[in-house]
Amino acid sequence: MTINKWKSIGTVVGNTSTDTYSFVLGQMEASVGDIVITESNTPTEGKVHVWGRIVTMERSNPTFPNEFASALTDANLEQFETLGFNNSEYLLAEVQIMGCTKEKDASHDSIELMPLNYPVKPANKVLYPDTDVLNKLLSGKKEEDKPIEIGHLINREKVKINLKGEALCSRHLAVLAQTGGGKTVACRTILAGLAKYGHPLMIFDTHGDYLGLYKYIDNLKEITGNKDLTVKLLTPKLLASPEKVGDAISEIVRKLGLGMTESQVGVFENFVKDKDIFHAEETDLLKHLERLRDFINKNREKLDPTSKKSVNPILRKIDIIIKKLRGMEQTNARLRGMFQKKGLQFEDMSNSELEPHKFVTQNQITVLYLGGYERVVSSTMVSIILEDLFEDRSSMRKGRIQAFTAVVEEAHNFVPSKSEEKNESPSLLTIRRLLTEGRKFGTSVILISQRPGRLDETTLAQCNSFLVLKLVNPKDQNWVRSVMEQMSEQDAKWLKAFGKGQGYISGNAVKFPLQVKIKYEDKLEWDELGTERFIQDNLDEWNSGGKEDRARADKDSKDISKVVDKL
Amino acid sequence: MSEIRKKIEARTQKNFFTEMMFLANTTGVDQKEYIKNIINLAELLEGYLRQRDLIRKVDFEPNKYWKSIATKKTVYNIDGGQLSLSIPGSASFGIRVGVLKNRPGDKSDNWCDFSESQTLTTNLVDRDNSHYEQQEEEFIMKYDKMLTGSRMIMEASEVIKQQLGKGKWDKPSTNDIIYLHGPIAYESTMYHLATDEENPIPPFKKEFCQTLFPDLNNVFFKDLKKKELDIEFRYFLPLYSEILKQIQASKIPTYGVVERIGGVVSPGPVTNAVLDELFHHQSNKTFGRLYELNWKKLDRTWDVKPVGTKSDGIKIEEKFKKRAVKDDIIFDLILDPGEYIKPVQVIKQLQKKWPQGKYSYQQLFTQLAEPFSTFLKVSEDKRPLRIETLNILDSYDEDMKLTFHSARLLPQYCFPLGLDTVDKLSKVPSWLRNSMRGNYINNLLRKTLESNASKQQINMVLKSFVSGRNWWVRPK
Repeated sequence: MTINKWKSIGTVVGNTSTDTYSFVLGQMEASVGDIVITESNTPTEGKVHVWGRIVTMERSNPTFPNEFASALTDANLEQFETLGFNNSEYLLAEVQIMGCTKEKDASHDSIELMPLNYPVKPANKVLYPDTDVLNKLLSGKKEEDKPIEIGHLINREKVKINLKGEALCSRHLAVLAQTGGGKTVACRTILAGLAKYGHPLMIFDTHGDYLGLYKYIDNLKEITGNKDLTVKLLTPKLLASPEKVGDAISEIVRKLGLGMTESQVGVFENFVKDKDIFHAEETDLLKHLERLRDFINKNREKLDPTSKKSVNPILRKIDIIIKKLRGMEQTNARLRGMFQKKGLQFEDMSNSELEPHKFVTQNQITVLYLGGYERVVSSTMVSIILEDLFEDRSSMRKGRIQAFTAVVEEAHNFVPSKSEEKNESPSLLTIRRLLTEGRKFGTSVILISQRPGRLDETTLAQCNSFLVLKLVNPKDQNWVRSVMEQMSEQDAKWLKAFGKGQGYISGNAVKFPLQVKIKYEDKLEWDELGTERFIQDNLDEWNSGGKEDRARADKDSKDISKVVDKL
Repeated sequence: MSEIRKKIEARTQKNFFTEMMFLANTTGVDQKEYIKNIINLAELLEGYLRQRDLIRKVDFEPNKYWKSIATKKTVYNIDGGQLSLSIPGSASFGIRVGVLKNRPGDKSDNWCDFSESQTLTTNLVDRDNSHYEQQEEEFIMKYDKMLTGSRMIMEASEVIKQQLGKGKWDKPSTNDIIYLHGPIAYESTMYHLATDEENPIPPFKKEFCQTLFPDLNNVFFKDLKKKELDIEFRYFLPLYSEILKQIQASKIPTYGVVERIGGVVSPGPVTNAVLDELFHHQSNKTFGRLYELNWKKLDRTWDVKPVGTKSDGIKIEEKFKKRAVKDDIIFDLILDPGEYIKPVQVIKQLQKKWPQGKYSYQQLFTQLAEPFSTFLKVSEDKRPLRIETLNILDSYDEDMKLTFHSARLLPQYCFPLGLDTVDKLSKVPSWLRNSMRGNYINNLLRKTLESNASKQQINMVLKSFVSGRNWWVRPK
């Protein structure tokens, strides 16, 4: 290895171990997150190069005592106006050792690390490796791994970081960050990377963050180089075949908090068991509900006097459900209407049980837009769809759907922790099953959440890779650290300090835990969506005729009042 | 023994705790009396000093002051650091003298700079590597004095170097200022000992002496040049005297600042000088300050009318002698923050201690540079600083202003920030000392083992160099 040509940036000091060492950094030639090398001799391997990542840094000036600072403040002076010395500042960096390599390993295309079994020698020089060798070490750019370029090392733009696409699709990934931390951008980058290989993606989109992929499909094709790529936007619908409709309705009644008494349940189930109520061709759960309501109304007189007493409460509950579902459907339609005006085309959702290929197919990104739907209903839909897709995939029958990746936005709503008292979310068990069994069948999941502390721990622990961006909430930080074995205390402390798009990635999708800066692809950014510039939007609307409209409306209202008063 | 006798003996047996309690109570009474007497003395002296307008005051106006001198003044701070390895068989030490230069208010890189101007690494018992000339076979080391003496003359010679602009930077102007950490002049005879028949310190080597004087053509004591640093002039006393004389001759304001006042003499040298200046009570016939001043053809410093009779002066001096009242204690009580006394000449080189015999340097003695001292009170809860100079210049009061404001930059420590900083930069850290010592012992052990030494030889090395508490010799 050409170790001598690399710049010496510091000297190892203090006690060292096989896990960590510290060094005094000369000047400001490296920063937290950087990869550094030092030479060491081991009893078994002889001379090795020890690779490590700077995890913390302390800066101090022993000739600048606190009381001096206090005197300067009191006198409203700056240091240069008085006396002192600022060249005695030094930087002490702590390095987490990643592993070591033998000298000859550098000639290989890809450098693989082995564990260090002997501590680094104090007083050794610490070197700053060049971009080429770092790329060899970090890129993991083996074609068979299906690399996805996610960004670069946090402080070195030229050192690219690649995720192993195959690892993502056989295991699972959690993307965790507070709002504004850059989750969506990071996920779009990962999805674009998977789309490059035509890998089918099923996105459950609560806020419409991924609708822009449809709008900018041409850009997406250009970025990925996949000309066959398509993006399908689906209108959500609660669907159930006549055989499952009874269970589905019971589930929804319960989940919407409209629980029935035991006697009501008995009467209700007697009605539901009657398969003739439900049209064999119909899959729309709402329509099934309406038919059920009509059927109960028509046949209530046939019931015995005790059962009759349960009919009215049952009907009330069905009415509430219908009203709620109708309301959600209308809200979703209104939201879709806004997007349609901007050129988006939504398709009606097919029955995932009967037509899973419409959801999952090569070169297709499917986005189910769940805007407007309550959590329980969304969860039910996600549960039904994923259950069906998994069943089909795991059936192993000929013609089954391809391996796919499901992307679940706002994952804390779909896989909530027990403490959230949402443990009965229908999707929880489904997603958990995908995470535990999916590896065998190629059904991977990407969970995205801004409140990791509210996620189901068992489910999250099944994720083999993590991308954690900015997280300020201490509860979330602690929780993340408890789930992620590879995250050090120093890394956890960094979570709150990350800027937008900066994050920590670990797990089997990368070679080492690293701090990364996520690549920002502005060609995929749909700025008409979610700019969150409400004050400016208001001003624009007000200044472009809104003011006159309001005046006119007020005048009309007054006129009407006058007329009404006269009546 | 009868029971009664036993009881009586038991009762008369001293109990450690009760004895300590008794001591605390009784000394408490004495302490109170002592403090009362000191306060009385302080009030008396303060009254006389204020009556004769001998106490001056600096107003604490940090913002205004520092802005007023912005880019107009360069401040040099000098201090030495030493590392000594006192190991049997070796007397290795190293000395380095550092200089911190500050130009307050200069936004450029010129604001501060540090220079490790002089360094010395030496081994006193190694003839080739020592900076002392060891010709006598019976040479016995006075390690501490040789080490301290070397450091003192190196620090003082650094002052000359800076005054003449022979270091890293150009010559300072008379508007600039040089501070030395410690006294500007030590009592030097104790580091000389050239004439100590039984235990002499050898002369310095010529090459070492040459490094002390930036300009040998311009020395004060002409014999030094004439005799080309002949052996007679390569002892501590003539070298140090020459250096002090050169410092005194400079027009660059130069001060030594002392933070910890040592000594047990009461009255202290500054109080003694102040009493003599106030009462004119000392005689030029008996040994004392006036006697020393006359020897050196110096006058009393303050031109003030005596505040009392000679007899008053003698009585007060006697009161000081009876009680341990050091200089810093009395001036701590007299002065308020920002105040300092008008500087007064203090005698450090005493005639009765001056060497006799082979090299007596009588000519030097009469021309010695003696310092002027003051005490500057920086804050209410800190003892005052002793500030010395060899030459009172017109800028004296202005210089005290800078000294005071520099010390107030460290409101708790109350010591000029520049000197505190250069002290940190120059001193040899303990980790270096420990590792050097460890390295030395390891090398010695390795060499002993490699030389196929006998078990007894190895044991001897271990016993000599490894402390009784070292892991080598601790029970396993």
